[in-house]
Amino acid sequence: MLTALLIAFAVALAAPAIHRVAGDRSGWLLALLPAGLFAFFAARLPQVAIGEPLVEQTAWVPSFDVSVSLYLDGLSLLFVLLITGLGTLVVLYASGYLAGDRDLGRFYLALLLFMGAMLGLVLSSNLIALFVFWELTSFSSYLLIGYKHETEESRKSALQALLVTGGGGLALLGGLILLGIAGGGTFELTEMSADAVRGHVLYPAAFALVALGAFTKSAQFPFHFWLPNAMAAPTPVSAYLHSATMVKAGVYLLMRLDATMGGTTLWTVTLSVVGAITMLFGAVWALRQTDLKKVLAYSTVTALGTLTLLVGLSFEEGIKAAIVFLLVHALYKGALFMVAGSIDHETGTRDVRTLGGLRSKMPLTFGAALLAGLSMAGVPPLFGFVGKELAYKAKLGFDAADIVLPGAAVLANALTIAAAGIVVIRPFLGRQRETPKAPHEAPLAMWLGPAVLAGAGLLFGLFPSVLPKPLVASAVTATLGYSFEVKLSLWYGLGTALALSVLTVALGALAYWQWDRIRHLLSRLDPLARLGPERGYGAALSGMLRLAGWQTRVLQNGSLRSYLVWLLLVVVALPGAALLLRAEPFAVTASWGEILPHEWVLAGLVAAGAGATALARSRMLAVAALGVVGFSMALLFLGLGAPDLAMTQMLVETLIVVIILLVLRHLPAIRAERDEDRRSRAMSALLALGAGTVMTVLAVAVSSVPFDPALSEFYAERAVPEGFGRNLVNVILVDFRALDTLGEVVVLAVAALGAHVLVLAGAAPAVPRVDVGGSVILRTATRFLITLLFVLALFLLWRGHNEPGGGFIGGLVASGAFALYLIAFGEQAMRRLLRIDSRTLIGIGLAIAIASGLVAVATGEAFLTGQWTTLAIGGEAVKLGTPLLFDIGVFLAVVGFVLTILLALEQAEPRPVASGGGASGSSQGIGSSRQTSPAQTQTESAGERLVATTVTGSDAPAPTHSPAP
Amino acid sequence: MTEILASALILAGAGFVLIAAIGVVRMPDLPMRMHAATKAGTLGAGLILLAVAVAFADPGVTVRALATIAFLFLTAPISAHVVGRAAAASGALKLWAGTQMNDLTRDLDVAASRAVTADPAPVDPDLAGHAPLADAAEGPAPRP
Repeated sequence: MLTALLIAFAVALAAPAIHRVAGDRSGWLLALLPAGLFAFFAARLPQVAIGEPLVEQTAWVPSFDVSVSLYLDGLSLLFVLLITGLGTLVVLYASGYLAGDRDLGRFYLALLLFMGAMLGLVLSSNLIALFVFWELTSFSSYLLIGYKHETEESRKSALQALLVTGGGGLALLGGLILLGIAGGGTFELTEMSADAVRGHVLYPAAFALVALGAFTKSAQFPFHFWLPNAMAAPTPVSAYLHSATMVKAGVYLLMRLDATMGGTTLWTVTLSVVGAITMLFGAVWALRQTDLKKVLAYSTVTALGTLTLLVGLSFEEGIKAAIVFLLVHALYKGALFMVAGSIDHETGTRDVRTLGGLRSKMPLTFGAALLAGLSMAGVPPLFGFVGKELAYKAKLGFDAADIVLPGAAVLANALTIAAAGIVVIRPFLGRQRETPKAPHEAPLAMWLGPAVLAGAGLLFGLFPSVLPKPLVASAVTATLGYSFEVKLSLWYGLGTALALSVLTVALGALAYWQWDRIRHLLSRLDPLARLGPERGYGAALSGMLRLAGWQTRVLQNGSLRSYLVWLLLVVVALPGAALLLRAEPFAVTASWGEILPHEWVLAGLVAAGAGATALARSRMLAVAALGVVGFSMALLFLGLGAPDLAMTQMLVETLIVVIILLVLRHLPAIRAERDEDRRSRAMSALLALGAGTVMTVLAVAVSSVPFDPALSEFYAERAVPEGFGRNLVNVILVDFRALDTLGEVVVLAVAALGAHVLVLAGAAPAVPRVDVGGSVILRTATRFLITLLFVLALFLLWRGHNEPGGGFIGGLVASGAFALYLIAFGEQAMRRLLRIDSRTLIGIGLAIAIASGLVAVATGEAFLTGQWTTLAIGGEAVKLGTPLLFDIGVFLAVVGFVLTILLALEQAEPRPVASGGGASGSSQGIGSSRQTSPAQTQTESAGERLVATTVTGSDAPAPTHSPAP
Repeated sequence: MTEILASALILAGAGFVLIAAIGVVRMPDLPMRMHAATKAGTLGAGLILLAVAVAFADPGVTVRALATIAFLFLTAPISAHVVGRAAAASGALKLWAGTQMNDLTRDLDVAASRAVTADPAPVDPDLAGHAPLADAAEGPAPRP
């Protein structure tokens, strides 16, 4: 079964390619997949019918008890056959309906993806796997509803369906997890004890959440509104997802859980009340519509309500009626949707009021429509009659129901009959009317589906005890959890149910006869309908957008300084509060005497540098002062025995200077901030002092905790025998914790791409700059120096495993070399030197890192496990291994990261900073201040001028450039 | 013997560094300050590194010290050169009143005015109060 499922997904992914190759015939080709699956599963019927479910279990996430447990019992089989059988017809139908559409391949992809997801959903007995497939159906439904994505209606409807069913899916996840807890800590449905679940204290919560998921999916009132809107989808989708399969997923879930959760008062009352309301609402509102598909959509809502109601009754007759009605409904509704699509396709309209007399033009479609319509109306000898009889018997047989339940059912069914009349009689009988297109019979692919489905409805009705019975019986048994005798027949003898049937048909005929009057009556309720749940959805959506907009304005207003304020506030507030609320005060073990003389000096330099940065009157001075802080820190690290850290810090400091100089061109002079009011500066000082204090106290507190050497000893012991490297830091980075490093490198890549896009967003294409200020001395020296630097970088990379160095540090040195070249020769020359795009370089680095990890997978070990080999080079044994390869990947990714940012900043034209108007939007992205006046945009900092003139010539706006002599 | 030699080298080096520091404080304009810092500073640092090589008398240390000296002698003059050039190009460089000759600023101005229309006067808060040499002649041009 898992293989079948995987094949379905594989074919789905290949569908666009198949469509490109096979062209118009691809529909017939692709229909082989559902047809084959149908045959495959249909062949399992005998085994399932004797009560032996097929079980297949494949571990997925064993540590969370998540497995792909496929479980084929009668209920699953019923759904599987519906999904694959209808799927075959729908694929064929779509090939006719959307013939020649340029995106047909994409359509097949989404449709088959949905089919696979739906199969997974009904076959899963693991709740988490079920949920994953559940979400996948919502997702593919989103793609299918939004198929005509050029129209706004499609996009809105698709989003609405996704949000409603997705929101319900979220509730469902919570419900399923609670159910798993209540069921004794397992997500395997087959292992749960129903008594334990029903008696568990979490049962009401689990039920409420699961019901919410099922109700949204199955379009129960008040979440029904997405379903009629989903009619924006192409008709094959409506016929497949939104009548026969996906919307039944909620009902399926309720049926599946009936044996585990059903039978309680809460279950019965909730489901039957919601189901009854939905049933009546859909039936009444269907008559308000004039669009064929909308009529059908609301009558689907009715059917889903009926199903929920029947499942909610939670006793044998109810389940039996629900299963039969489910099959009945899938057959006739699928057929009618296809008929509606054919009418739309051939006449150009779906408005019932403009249609009529199509019977002679489309005889085959009419025949199918007539049979399906009669089944929908529940007229003997069609299968619909069997279903209706059983439903009446169930409702009459339910103890607690007096007159209300059958009464409501009669009303809903009568109105459904009227709806069937609207869909079948109106367009086909009567006199022929003018339509946008001259109608003629639909092609084979499009009448085959309705004909097969309607024919099945007739056959099942004529021979109910032969054809559908084994399937229905095993489905009922599977749902109930125990064996139950099922008898199906056209004739149950005279009785109340038959009388109700007769009454229903009479009422239905009356309603159809008076349809125009009813519709006008209902149209008076339109203002009321606009106040309905859909309005709630709209309000919630716009409210959310407003909230998002508000929080963006407040928290992410584009000012780097306010981001910094928020960050520091959190740093002060949370750890500060944690320190204050500590139960016992920590004992300060650190003493002044421990501080060595050179550490005093360095600490003083750090403090002085920080103070100078804060008080600097130009950005250049601030950068220089910040450099003092950084290099002093690096020396402190060096003194504390962390050469790798110190080297990294120094290299980063150097590169930061280059990057800041490039950024400076985009910033206003620092005086802009100095002019702000004193109170704001006082607040900043306070915040800075607070952050410093909290960090100091935190550091002292941490140092008061006795140092546990277990971890460092572990690494020290294992580094050489297992990692073959004496540099602990590097062995940890590329071997022991290589997955973390890989994650960080991916973060680097994303950050570089983000910076690239943000900096260059909306920027004009860079005009090649003219270099007027380049220094020959600098250039000559640069040529010499970068060679040395590259050698140094490679040397650091190579020796990193045993001595300070490694991919990160080597990459930073190489980046420094490139930065020097950039300064000396300019952007164009730099790009020529690099030859490939810096972003490609990141990709190559990532690819090498991942490939080095896959080597271990190929040999059957965990991803990124080091694989080593010893080579004899020049008589000396040299250990080579995948961690070294990994380090090369890191090296390249780091170089690509730095260069991407440098080049993006270099390429971006300096723009006037936020002058209160239009251009401010994009320039805020790189952190310009908001509080600038137009006058300040004219001022430039020394840094800007320096870089502009020595590096690239000029920062003047592009149009004024002229080639240098 | 080596101790005496190393000590002498360290003292000489520290002396040059001191001279460089005094020069940075006392000299009247940027090129001169840089001149002091670069030449005396490089020599001072080089002597101290030489002292290190002598004191340790270890081939590994000697090679490193010599390489560091080589890099120092290679990079320090170039960075000084680039800083001076940048200062001149920034247009905000104020030279000592006794300066006899300044070709660079004029050359840069010529090259810049050929390539681009002049920008408005850059205001460098570091050098605020000094009259910009280059812009005095040209005056601010309107931004396009």
